[in-house]
Amino acid sequence: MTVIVWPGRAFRYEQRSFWREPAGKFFTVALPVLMLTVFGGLNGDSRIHELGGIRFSRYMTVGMVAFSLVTTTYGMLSARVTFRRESGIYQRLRTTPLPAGAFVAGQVLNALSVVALTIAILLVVGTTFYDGTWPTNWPLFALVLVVGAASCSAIGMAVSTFVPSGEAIDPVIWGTMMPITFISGMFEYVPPHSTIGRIASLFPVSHLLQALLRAFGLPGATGPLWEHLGVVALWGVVGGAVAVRRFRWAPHR
Amino acid sequence: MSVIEVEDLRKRYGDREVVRGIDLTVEAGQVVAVLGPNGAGKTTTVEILEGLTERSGGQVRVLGVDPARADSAWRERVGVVLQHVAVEPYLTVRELLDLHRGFYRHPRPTDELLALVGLTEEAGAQVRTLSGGQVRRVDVALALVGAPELVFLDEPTTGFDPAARHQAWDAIRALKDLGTTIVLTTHYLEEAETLADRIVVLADGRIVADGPPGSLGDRHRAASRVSFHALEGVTPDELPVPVEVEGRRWTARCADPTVSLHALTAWAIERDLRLSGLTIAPPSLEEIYLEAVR
Repeated sequence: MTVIVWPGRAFRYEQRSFWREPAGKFFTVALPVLMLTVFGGLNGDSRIHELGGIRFSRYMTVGMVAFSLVTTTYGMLSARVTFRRESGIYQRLRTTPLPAGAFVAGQVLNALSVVALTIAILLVVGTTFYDGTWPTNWPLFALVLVVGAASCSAIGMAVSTFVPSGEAIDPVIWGTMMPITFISGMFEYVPPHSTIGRIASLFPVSHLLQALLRAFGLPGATGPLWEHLGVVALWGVVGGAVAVRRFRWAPHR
Repeated sequence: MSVIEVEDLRKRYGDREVVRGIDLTVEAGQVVAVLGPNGAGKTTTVEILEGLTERSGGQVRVLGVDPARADSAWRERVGVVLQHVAVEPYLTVRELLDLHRGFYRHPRPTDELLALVGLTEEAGAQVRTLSGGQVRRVDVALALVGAPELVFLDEPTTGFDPAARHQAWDAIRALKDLGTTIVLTTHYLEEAETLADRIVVLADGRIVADGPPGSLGDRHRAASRVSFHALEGVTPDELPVPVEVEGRRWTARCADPTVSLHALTAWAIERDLRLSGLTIAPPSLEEIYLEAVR
Protein backbone atom coordinates (compact mmCIF):
# COMPACT_ATOMS: atom_id res chain seq x y z
CA MET A 1 0.00 0.00 0.00
CA THR A 2 1.10 3.54 -0.62
CA VAL A 3 2.27 6.12 1.85
CA ILE A 4 -1.08 7.88 1.52
CA VAL A 5 -3.42 4.93 1.92
CA TRP A 6 -2.01 3.72 5.26
CA PRO A 7 -2.18 7.03 7.16
CA GLY A 8 -5.57 7.58 5.54
CA ARG A 9 -6.92 4.34 6.98
CA ALA A 10 -5.43 5.11 10.38
CA PHE A 11 -6.95 8.60 10.23
CA ARG A 12 -10.37 7.17 9.40
CA TYR A 13 -10.11 4.82 12.38
CA GLU A 14 -9.11 7.67 14.73
CA GLN A 15 -11.85 9.95 13.47
CA ARG A 16 -14.54 7.34 14.02
CA SER A 17 -13.25 6.58 17.48
CA PHE A 18 -12.78 10.23 18.52
CA TRP A 19 -16.19 11.55 17.49
CA ARG A 20 -17.95 8.63 19.14
CA GLU A 21 -16.46 9.33 22.57
CA PRO A 22 -18.54 11.79 24.60
CA ALA A 23 -15.90 13.34 26.88
CA GLY A 24 -13.33 14.18 24.22
CA LYS A 25 -15.71 16.26 22.20
CA PHE A 26 -16.57 18.52 25.10
CA PHE A 27 -13.07 19.20 26.36
CA THR A 28 -11.56 19.58 22.93
CA VAL A 29 -14.10 21.40 20.82
CA ALA A 30 -16.63 22.91 23.19
CA LEU A 31 -14.36 24.10 26.01
CA PRO A 32 -12.41 26.82 24.10
CA VAL A 33 -15.65 28.10 22.54
CA LEU A 34 -17.35 28.09 25.94
CA MET A 35 -14.43 29.98 27.48
CA LEU A 36 -14.58 32.59 24.74
CA THR A 37 -18.27 33.15 25.37
CA VAL A 38 -17.84 33.27 29.16
CA PHE A 39 -14.72 35.46 29.38
CA GLY A 40 -15.63 37.45 26.30
CA GLY A 41 -19.10 38.03 27.70
CA LEU A 42 -17.86 39.01 31.18
CA ASN A 43 -15.03 41.31 30.20
CA GLY A 44 -15.91 41.96 26.61
CA ASP A 45 -16.15 45.71 26.83
CA SER A 46 -13.00 46.32 28.85
CA ARG A 47 -10.01 47.54 26.93
CA ILE A 48 -6.34 46.66 27.13
CA HIS A 49 -4.47 49.96 27.51
CA GLU A 50 -1.03 48.43 26.90
CA LEU A 51 -2.22 47.30 23.48
CA GLY A 52 -3.47 50.64 22.29
CA GLY A 53 -6.87 50.19 23.88
CA ILE A 54 -8.14 47.21 21.82
CA ARG A 55 -11.14 45.45 23.23
CA PHE A 56 -10.38 42.51 25.50
CA SER A 57 -12.71 40.18 23.63
CA ARG A 58 -10.78 40.79 20.38
CA TYR A 59 -7.57 39.78 22.16
CA MET A 60 -9.35 36.86 23.79
CA THR A 61 -10.42 35.47 20.42
CA VAL A 62 -6.78 35.09 19.42
CA GLY A 63 -5.97 33.74 22.88
CA MET A 64 -8.59 31.04 22.51
CA VAL A 65 -7.29 30.08 19.05
CA ALA A 66 -3.90 29.47 20.67
CA PHE A 67 -5.54 27.76 23.64
CA SER A 68 -7.49 25.34 21.47
CA LEU A 69 -4.36 24.52 19.53
CA VAL A 70 -2.64 23.61 22.80
CA THR A 71 -5.56 21.73 24.37
CA THR A 72 -6.07 19.65 21.24
CA THR A 73 -2.62 18.83 19.97
CA TYR A 74 -0.95 18.69 23.36
CA GLY A 75 -3.77 17.82 25.76
CA MET A 76 -6.23 15.73 23.77
CA LEU A 77 -3.58 13.93 21.78
CA SER A 78 -1.46 12.90 24.76
CA ALA A 79 -4.54 11.90 26.78
CA ARG A 80 -5.85 9.73 23.97
CA VAL A 81 -2.48 8.17 23.30
CA THR A 82 -1.87 7.39 26.97
CA PHE A 83 -5.33 6.15 27.74
CA ARG A 84 -5.58 3.89 24.73
CA ARG A 85 -2.03 2.63 25.00
CA GLU A 86 -2.56 1.73 28.67
CA SER A 87 -5.87 0.03 27.93
CA GLY A 88 -4.07 -2.20 25.43
CA ILE A 89 -5.79 -0.93 22.28
CA TYR A 90 -2.47 0.08 20.71
CA GLN A 91 -0.88 -3.26 21.41
CA ARG A 92 -3.91 -4.76 19.69
CA LEU A 93 -3.44 -2.50 16.65
CA ARG A 94 0.22 -3.42 16.54
CA THR A 95 -0.76 -7.00 15.70
CA THR A 96 -2.41 -5.73 12.49
CA PRO A 97 -0.44 -4.84 9.34
CA LEU A 98 -0.82 -1.10 10.07
CA PRO A 99 2.73 0.33 10.21
CA ALA A 100 3.79 2.34 13.27
CA GLY A 101 4.45 5.51 11.27
CA ALA A 102 1.01 5.43 9.69
CA PHE A 103 -0.53 4.83 13.06
CA VAL A 104 1.17 7.90 14.58
CA ALA A 105 0.30 9.94 11.48
CA GLY A 106 -3.34 8.94 11.92
CA GLN A 107 -3.29 10.23 15.51
CA VAL A 108 -1.72 13.55 14.57
CA LEU A 109 -3.93 14.05 11.50
CA ASN A 110 -6.95 13.46 13.69
CA ALA A 111 -5.77 16.10 16.19
CA LEU A 112 -5.10 18.52 13.31
CA SER A 113 -8.55 18.03 11.84
CA VAL A 114 -10.14 18.62 15.23
CA VAL A 115 -8.11 21.75 15.90
CA ALA A 116 -8.91 23.11 12.42
CA LEU A 117 -12.61 22.67 13.12
CA THR A 118 -12.37 24.24 16.57
CA ILE A 119 -10.45 27.25 15.29
CA ALA A 120 -12.96 27.76 12.51
CA ILE A 121 -15.78 27.79 15.07
CA LEU A 122 -13.83 30.17 17.30
CA LEU A 123 -13.20 32.60 14.45
CA VAL A 124 -16.81 32.60 13.36
CA VAL A 125 -18.09 33.06 16.91
CA GLY A 126 -15.36 35.60 17.73
CA THR A 127 -15.88 37.78 14.67
CA THR A 128 -19.66 37.59 14.94
CA PHE A 129 -20.16 38.27 18.63
CA TYR A 130 -16.91 39.37 20.27
CA ASP A 131 -15.39 42.04 18.09
CA GLY A 132 -12.83 39.50 16.86
CA THR A 133 -11.01 39.98 13.58
CA TRP A 134 -9.99 37.58 10.83
CA PRO A 135 -6.27 37.04 10.34
CA THR A 136 -4.69 39.84 8.33
CA ASN A 137 -1.80 37.66 7.19
CA TRP A 138 -3.26 34.30 6.18
CA PRO A 139 0.01 32.63 5.07
CA LEU A 140 1.60 33.56 8.41
CA PHE A 141 -1.53 32.35 10.23
CA ALA A 142 -1.29 29.00 8.44
CA LEU A 143 2.44 28.75 9.13
CA VAL A 144 1.99 29.46 12.85
CA LEU A 145 -0.77 26.89 13.09
CA VAL A 146 1.28 24.21 11.33
CA VAL A 147 4.43 24.86 13.37
CA GLY A 148 2.43 25.15 16.59
CA ALA A 149 0.37 22.01 15.99
CA ALA A 150 3.40 19.96 14.97
CA SER A 151 5.33 21.13 18.00
CA CYS A 152 2.54 20.63 20.52
CA SER A 153 1.79 17.18 19.05
CA ALA A 154 5.42 16.17 19.45
CA ILE A 155 5.51 17.43 23.05
CA GLY A 156 2.23 15.65 23.79
CA MET A 157 3.54 12.37 22.38
CA ALA A 158 6.72 12.80 24.44
CA VAL A 159 4.88 13.55 27.69
CA SER A 160 2.64 10.53 27.16
CA THR A 161 5.64 8.21 27.26
CA PHE A 162 6.37 9.26 30.86
CA VAL A 163 2.87 8.57 32.13
CA PRO A 164 2.35 4.92 33.08
CA SER A 165 -1.43 4.90 33.50
CA GLY A 166 -4.55 6.26 31.88
CA GLU A 167 -5.71 7.76 35.19
CA ALA A 168 -2.49 9.74 35.67
CA ILE A 169 -2.53 11.58 32.36
CA ASP A 170 -5.32 14.10 33.08
CA PRO A 171 -3.63 15.65 36.14
CA VAL A 172 -0.37 15.82 34.19
CA ILE A 173 -1.99 17.56 31.25
CA TRP A 174 -4.12 20.03 33.15
CA GLY A 175 -1.37 20.60 35.73
CA THR A 176 1.01 21.72 33.00
CA MET A 177 -1.38 23.23 30.49
CA MET A 178 -3.44 25.50 32.75
CA PRO A 179 -0.61 27.38 34.53
CA ILE A 180 1.40 27.74 31.33
CA THR A 181 -1.48 28.92 29.17
CA PHE A 182 -2.46 31.32 31.97
CA ILE A 183 0.95 32.94 32.45
CA SER A 184 1.39 33.00 28.68
CA GLY A 185 -1.47 35.47 28.41
CA MET A 186 -4.26 33.46 26.89
CA PHE A 187 -6.90 34.58 29.35
CA GLU A 188 -5.54 37.98 30.24
CA TYR A 189 -2.90 40.16 28.65
CA VAL A 190 0.53 39.53 30.23
CA PRO A 191 3.21 42.08 29.31
CA PRO A 192 6.19 40.17 27.86
CA HIS A 193 8.71 42.12 29.96
CA SER A 194 6.99 41.52 33.28
CA THR A 195 8.36 38.83 35.58
CA ILE A 196 5.53 36.46 34.69
CA GLY A 197 6.04 37.27 31.03
CA ARG A 198 9.70 36.38 31.27
CA ILE A 199 8.96 33.07 32.96
CA ALA A 200 6.32 32.35 30.32
CA SER A 201 8.82 33.08 27.55
CA LEU A 202 10.71 29.92 28.51
CA PHE A 203 7.77 27.87 27.25
CA PRO A 204 6.48 27.64 23.70
CA VAL A 205 2.93 28.78 24.43
CA SER A 206 3.59 32.53 24.86
CA HIS A 207 5.64 32.53 21.66
CA LEU A 208 2.81 30.78 19.87
CA LEU A 209 0.41 33.49 21.05
CA GLN A 210 2.75 36.32 20.05
CA ALA A 211 3.23 34.86 16.59
CA LEU A 212 -0.55 34.53 16.26
CA LEU A 213 -1.10 38.16 17.34
CA ARG A 214 1.18 39.15 14.43
CA ALA A 215 -0.88 37.06 12.03
CA PHE A 216 -4.00 38.86 13.23
CA GLY A 217 -2.33 42.24 12.86
CA LEU A 218 -2.76 42.98 16.57
CA PRO A 219 -0.23 44.64 18.86
CA GLY A 220 1.18 42.81 21.87
CA ALA A 221 4.10 40.88 20.41
CA THR A 222 7.67 41.91 21.06
CA GLY A 223 10.85 40.69 19.43
CA PRO A 224 11.33 39.30 15.94
CA LEU A 225 8.84 36.81 14.52
CA TRP A 226 11.50 34.21 13.73
CA GLU A 227 12.43 34.10 17.40
CA HIS A 228 8.87 33.18 18.41
CA LEU A 229 8.55 30.54 15.72
CA GLY A 230 12.06 29.32 16.53
CA VAL A 231 11.29 28.70 20.21
CA VAL A 232 8.07 26.85 19.32
CA ALA A 233 9.90 24.73 16.74
CA LEU A 234 12.81 23.97 19.08
CA TRP A 235 10.46 22.65 21.74
CA GLY A 236 8.84 20.55 19.04
CA VAL A 237 12.13 19.11 17.83
CA VAL A 238 13.17 18.16 21.36
CA GLY A 239 9.71 16.72 22.06
CA GLY A 240 9.77 14.78 18.82
CA ALA A 241 13.19 13.30 19.55
CA VAL A 242 12.03 12.16 23.01
CA ALA A 243 8.76 10.82 21.61
CA VAL A 244 10.46 8.76 18.91
CA ARG A 245 13.08 7.43 21.31
CA ARG A 246 10.59 6.43 23.97
CA PHE A 247 7.62 5.42 21.82
CA ARG A 248 5.93 2.23 22.97
CA TRP A 249 2.87 0.27 21.95
CA ALA A 250 2.56 -1.86 25.04
CA PRO A 251 0.89 -0.79 28.29
CA HIS A 252 3.06 -0.35 31.42
CA ARG A 253 1.57 -3.25 33.36
CA MET B 1 8.32 -26.04 5.75
CA SER B 2 7.00 -25.91 9.29
CA VAL B 3 4.82 -22.99 10.34
CA ILE B 4 6.73 -22.44 13.58
CA GLU B 5 10.34 -23.41 14.20
CA VAL B 6 11.87 -22.57 17.56
CA GLU B 7 15.33 -23.56 18.75
CA ASP B 8 16.72 -22.95 22.23
CA LEU B 9 14.48 -19.93 22.82
CA ARG B 10 15.43 -17.87 25.84
CA LYS B 11 14.10 -14.74 27.51
CA ARG B 12 15.61 -12.91 30.45
CA TYR B 13 14.12 -10.05 32.45
CA GLY B 14 17.09 -8.68 34.40
CA ASP B 15 18.59 -11.62 36.25
CA ARG B 16 15.52 -13.77 35.91
CA GLU B 17 15.33 -16.15 32.98
CA VAL B 18 11.64 -16.84 32.33
CA VAL B 19 12.06 -18.86 29.13
CA ARG B 20 14.91 -21.30 29.47
CA GLY B 21 15.62 -23.12 26.25
CA ILE B 22 12.47 -24.07 24.36
CA ASP B 23 12.53 -26.17 21.19
CA LEU B 24 9.27 -26.40 19.29
CA THR B 25 8.14 -27.18 15.77
CA VAL B 26 4.53 -26.73 14.67
CA GLU B 27 3.25 -28.04 11.35
CA ALA B 28 0.59 -26.43 9.17
CA GLY B 29 -2.99 -27.14 10.25
CA GLN B 30 -2.08 -28.25 13.76
CA VAL B 31 -3.90 -26.99 16.82
CA VAL B 32 -1.38 -26.73 19.65
CA ALA B 33 -2.43 -25.98 23.22
CA VAL B 34 0.24 -24.56 25.51
CA LEU B 35 -0.47 -25.39 29.14
CA GLY B 36 1.38 -24.53 32.29
CA PRO B 37 1.06 -22.85 35.68
CA ASN B 38 1.13 -19.05 36.06
CA GLY B 39 4.64 -17.77 35.47
CA ALA B 40 5.65 -20.80 33.39
CA GLY B 41 6.51 -18.55 30.44
CA LYS B 42 3.48 -19.24 28.23
CA THR B 43 2.56 -15.66 27.42
CA THR B 44 6.18 -14.57 27.05
CA THR B 45 6.83 -17.40 24.60
CA VAL B 46 3.71 -16.64 22.59
CA GLU B 47 4.47 -12.90 22.53
CA ILE B 48 7.92 -13.62 21.14
CA LEU B 49 6.34 -15.74 18.40
CA GLU B 50 3.87 -12.90 17.71
CA GLY B 51 6.70 -10.40 17.30
CA LEU B 52 5.59 -8.31 20.30
CA THR B 53 8.44 -9.19 22.67
CA GLU B 54 12.14 -9.45 21.87
CA ARG B 55 13.91 -12.66 22.76
CA SER B 56 17.19 -12.87 24.61
CA GLY B 57 18.51 -15.89 22.74
CA GLY B 58 17.77 -18.73 20.36
CA GLN B 59 16.36 -19.01 16.85
CA VAL B 60 12.75 -18.36 15.90
CA ARG B 61 11.06 -18.69 12.51
CA VAL B 62 7.34 -18.13 12.15
CA LEU B 63 6.03 -18.59 8.59
CA GLY B 64 9.69 -18.53 7.57
CA VAL B 65 10.30 -15.08 9.07
CA ASP B 66 12.00 -13.96 12.26
CA PRO B 67 9.09 -12.32 14.14
CA ALA B 68 11.48 -9.77 15.68
CA ARG B 69 11.65 -8.34 12.14
CA ALA B 70 7.96 -8.68 11.38
CA ASP B 71 6.63 -6.40 8.64
CA SER B 72 3.16 -5.61 7.33
CA ALA B 73 3.18 -8.54 4.89
CA TRP B 74 3.92 -10.97 7.73
CA ARG B 75 1.26 -9.45 9.98
CA GLU B 76 -1.30 -10.01 7.20
CA ARG B 77 -0.71 -13.74 7.60
CA VAL B 78 -0.78 -13.92 11.41
CA GLY B 79 -3.84 -13.33 13.61
CA VAL B 80 -3.38 -12.51 17.27
CA VAL B 81 -5.71 -12.52 20.26
CA LEU B 82 -3.92 -11.07 23.27
CA GLN B 83 -4.53 -12.12 26.85
CA HIS B 84 -6.02 -8.73 27.79
CA VAL B 85 -9.04 -7.80 25.73
CA ALA B 86 -8.73 -4.28 24.35
CA VAL B 87 -11.34 -3.11 21.89
CA GLU B 88 -12.64 0.40 21.09
CA PRO B 89 -15.68 0.66 23.38
CA TYR B 90 -17.76 3.20 21.47
CA LEU B 91 -17.69 1.62 18.00
CA THR B 92 -20.19 -0.94 16.84
CA VAL B 93 -19.01 -4.45 16.05
CA ARG B 94 -19.56 -3.91 12.34
CA GLU B 95 -17.77 -0.54 12.27
CA LEU B 96 -14.81 -1.98 14.10
CA LEU B 97 -14.51 -4.91 11.71
CA ASP B 98 -14.88 -2.60 8.70
CA LEU B 99 -12.16 -0.27 10.00
CA HIS B 100 -9.82 -3.19 10.63
CA ARG B 101 -10.56 -4.56 7.17
CA GLY B 102 -8.95 -1.36 5.89
CA PHE B 103 -5.64 -2.55 7.31
CA TYR B 104 -5.52 -5.71 5.13
CA ARG B 105 -5.12 -6.26 1.42
CA HIS B 106 -7.44 -9.28 1.18
CA PRO B 107 -9.82 -9.02 4.12
CA ARG B 108 -12.58 -11.48 4.87
CA PRO B 109 -16.08 -10.09 4.25
CA THR B 110 -17.54 -8.56 7.42
CA ASP B 111 -20.62 -10.81 7.39
CA GLU B 112 -18.43 -13.90 7.13
CA LEU B 113 -16.42 -12.74 10.16
CA LEU B 114 -19.59 -12.08 12.14
CA ALA B 115 -20.92 -15.54 11.33
CA LEU B 116 -17.60 -17.19 12.16
CA VAL B 117 -17.67 -15.89 15.74
CA GLY B 118 -21.46 -16.00 16.10
CA LEU B 119 -22.04 -12.24 16.44
CA THR B 120 -24.31 -11.62 13.45
CA GLU B 121 -27.11 -10.44 15.73
CA GLU B 122 -24.83 -8.07 17.65
CA ALA B 123 -23.33 -6.42 14.54
CA GLY B 124 -25.01 -3.07 15.22
CA ALA B 125 -24.28 -2.93 18.96
CA GLN B 126 -21.56 -0.78 20.46
CA VAL B 127 -18.79 -2.90 21.95
CA ARG B 128 -19.30 -1.42 25.45
CA THR B 129 -22.83 -2.86 25.59
CA LEU B 130 -21.68 -6.46 24.98
CA SER B 131 -20.96 -9.15 27.58
CA GLY B 132 -17.40 -10.17 28.38
CA GLY B 133 -17.69 -13.29 26.28
CA GLN B 134 -19.07 -11.37 23.33
CA VAL B 135 -16.27 -8.78 23.50
CA ARG B 136 -13.79 -11.63 23.50
CA ARG B 137 -15.40 -12.96 20.34
CA VAL B 138 -15.14 -9.50 18.76
CA ASP B 139 -11.46 -9.67 19.63
CA VAL B 140 -11.22 -13.08 17.95
CA ALA B 141 -13.01 -11.73 14.86
CA LEU B 142 -10.44 -8.90 14.66
CA ALA B 143 -7.68 -11.49 14.62
CA LEU B 144 -9.36 -13.25 11.69
CA VAL B 145 -9.96 -10.18 9.47
CA GLY B 146 -6.97 -10.93 7.27
CA ALA B 147 -7.85 -14.64 6.88
CA PRO B 148 -4.57 -15.55 8.61
CA GLU B 149 -2.75 -18.85 8.09
CA LEU B 150 -1.66 -18.84 11.72
CA VAL B 151 -3.61 -17.69 14.76
CA PHE B 152 -2.38 -17.15 18.33
CA LEU B 153 -4.97 -17.20 21.10
CA ASP B 154 -3.71 -16.29 24.56
CA GLU B 155 -6.18 -17.66 27.13
CA PRO B 156 -9.16 -17.09 24.84
CA THR B 157 -11.83 -18.31 27.28
CA THR B 158 -10.56 -17.24 30.70
CA GLY B 159 -13.44 -16.01 32.82
CA PHE B 160 -16.17 -17.36 30.51
CA ASP B 161 -19.28 -19.11 31.71
CA PRO B 162 -19.72 -22.64 30.31
CA ALA B 163 -22.10 -21.57 27.52
CA ALA B 164 -19.77 -18.81 26.34
CA ARG B 165 -16.85 -21.22 26.49
CA HIS B 166 -18.63 -23.72 24.25
CA GLN B 167 -19.45 -20.95 21.75
CA ALA B 168 -15.80 -19.93 21.69
CA TRP B 169 -14.77 -23.53 21.15
CA ASP B 170 -17.13 -23.79 18.20
CA ALA B 171 -15.51 -20.71 16.68
CA ILE B 172 -12.05 -22.21 17.16
CA ARG B 173 -13.14 -25.53 15.62
CA ALA B 174 -14.60 -23.65 12.63
CA LEU B 175 -11.25 -21.96 12.23
CA LYS B 176 -9.44 -25.26 12.39
CA ASP B 177 -11.73 -26.66 9.71
CA LEU B 178 -10.56 -23.83 7.45
CA GLY B 179 -7.05 -25.26 7.74
CA THR B 180 -5.72 -22.54 10.05
CA THR B 181 -2.78 -23.38 12.27
CA ILE B 182 -3.68 -22.43 15.85
CA VAL B 183 -1.54 -21.94 18.93
CA LEU B 184 -3.55 -21.35 22.08
CA THR B 185 -2.57 -21.01 25.71
CA THR B 186 -5.02 -22.05 28.38
CA HIS B 187 -5.45 -22.99 32.01
CA TYR B 188 -8.32 -25.32 31.21
CA LEU B 189 -7.37 -28.91 30.62
CA GLU B 190 -10.70 -29.84 29.09
CA GLU B 191 -10.22 -26.97 26.63
CA ALA B 192 -6.87 -28.37 25.56
CA GLU B 193 -8.27 -31.87 25.40
CA THR B 194 -11.27 -30.98 23.26
CA LEU B 195 -9.54 -28.57 20.85
CA ALA B 196 -5.91 -29.52 20.50
CA ASP B 197 -4.12 -32.05 18.33
CA ARG B 198 -1.14 -31.58 20.54
CA ILE B 199 -0.46 -30.34 24.04
CA VAL B 200 2.76 -28.67 25.12
CA VAL B 201 3.21 -28.31 28.87
CA LEU B 202 5.52 -25.55 30.08
CA ALA B 203 6.86 -25.29 33.60
CA ASP B 204 9.51 -22.91 34.82
CA GLY B 205 10.41 -21.79 31.30
CA ARG B 206 10.90 -25.27 29.86
CA ILE B 207 8.80 -27.83 28.00
CA VAL B 208 8.10 -30.68 30.40
CA ALA B 209 5.62 -32.66 28.30
CA ASP B 210 4.66 -32.59 24.63
CA GLY B 211 2.27 -34.89 22.78
CA PRO B 212 -1.29 -35.58 21.60
CA PRO B 213 -3.90 -35.34 24.39
CA GLY B 214 -4.45 -39.12 24.37
CA SER B 215 -0.82 -40.06 24.88
CA LEU B 216 0.65 -37.04 26.68
CA GLY B 217 3.06 -38.21 29.34
CA ASP B 218 2.49 -41.87 28.28
CA ARG B 219 -1.11 -41.46 29.35
CA HIS B 220 -2.21 -44.30 27.04
CA ARG B 221 0.22 -46.72 28.69
CA ALA B 222 -0.21 -45.50 32.25
CA ALA B 223 -2.22 -47.43 34.80
CA SER B 224 -6.01 -47.10 34.40
CA ARG B 225 -8.24 -46.08 37.24
CA VAL B 226 -11.02 -48.43 38.40
CA SER B 227 -13.22 -46.47 40.73
CA PHE B 228 -16.49 -46.99 42.65
CA HIS B 229 -18.42 -45.65 45.66
CA ALA B 230 -17.09 -46.58 49.09
CA LEU B 231 -18.59 -49.87 50.33
CA GLU B 232 -20.48 -50.00 53.61
CA GLY B 233 -19.28 -52.45 56.23
CA VAL B 234 -16.05 -53.23 54.40
CA THR B 235 -12.58 -51.81 55.01
CA PRO B 236 -10.42 -51.07 51.97
CA ASP B 237 -7.75 -53.63 52.91
CA GLU B 238 -10.27 -56.49 52.60
CA LEU B 239 -10.42 -55.94 48.81
CA PRO B 240 -8.47 -58.20 46.40
CA VAL B 241 -6.79 -55.19 44.82
CA PRO B 242 -5.17 -52.23 46.61
CA VAL B 243 -7.35 -49.09 46.52
CA GLU B 244 -6.83 -45.46 47.43
CA VAL B 245 -9.56 -43.64 49.34
CA GLU B 246 -10.45 -40.34 47.65
CA GLY B 247 -13.30 -38.85 49.63
CA ARG B 248 -16.35 -41.05 49.11
CA ARG B 249 -14.79 -42.99 46.25
CA TRP B 250 -12.31 -45.82 46.22
CA THR B 251 -9.91 -46.02 43.32
CA ALA B 252 -7.58 -48.82 42.24
CA ARG B 253 -4.69 -48.10 39.87
CA CYS B 254 -4.53 -51.09 37.54
CA ALA B 255 -1.71 -51.83 35.11
CA ASP B 256 -3.95 -54.54 33.60
CA PRO B 257 -7.55 -53.45 34.23
CA THR B 258 -9.03 -56.62 32.64
CA VAL B 259 -7.54 -58.84 35.34
CA SER B 260 -8.09 -56.42 38.22
CA LEU B 261 -11.69 -55.79 37.27
CA HIS B 262 -12.34 -59.52 37.07
CA ALA B 263 -10.87 -60.08 40.54
CA LEU B 264 -12.80 -57.20 41.97
CA THR B 265 -16.21 -58.09 40.52
CA ALA B 266 -15.79 -61.81 41.38
CA TRP B 267 -14.98 -60.80 44.96
CA ALA B 268 -18.06 -58.55 45.11
CA ILE B 269 -20.46 -61.11 43.60
CA GLU B 270 -19.28 -63.75 46.08
CA ARG B 271 -20.28 -61.41 48.94
CA ASP B 272 -23.44 -60.19 47.18
CA LEU B 273 -22.11 -56.60 47.14
CA ARG B 274 -22.83 -54.06 44.44
CA LEU B 275 -20.03 -51.79 43.17
CA SER B 276 -22.14 -48.71 42.56
CA GLY B 277 -20.85 -45.87 40.39
CA LEU B 278 -18.25 -48.19 38.88
CA THR B 279 -16.01 -46.51 36.28
CA ILE B 280 -12.88 -47.46 34.45
CA ALA B 281 -10.82 -44.74 32.82
CA PRO B 282 -7.31 -43.82 31.78
CA PRO B 283 -5.62 -41.27 34.05
CA SER B 284 -7.19 -37.86 33.56
CA LEU B 285 -5.28 -35.20 31.66
CA GLU B 286 -5.22 -33.29 34.90
CA GLU B 287 -3.30 -36.06 36.65
CA ILE B 288 -0.79 -36.20 33.78
CA TYR B 289 -0.49 -32.43 33.83
CA LEU B 290 0.02 -32.19 37.58
CA GLU B 291 2.62 -34.93 37.37
CA ALA B 292 4.44 -33.08 34.56
CA VAL B 293 4.59 -29.67 36.22
CA ARG B 294 5.49 -30.97 39.69
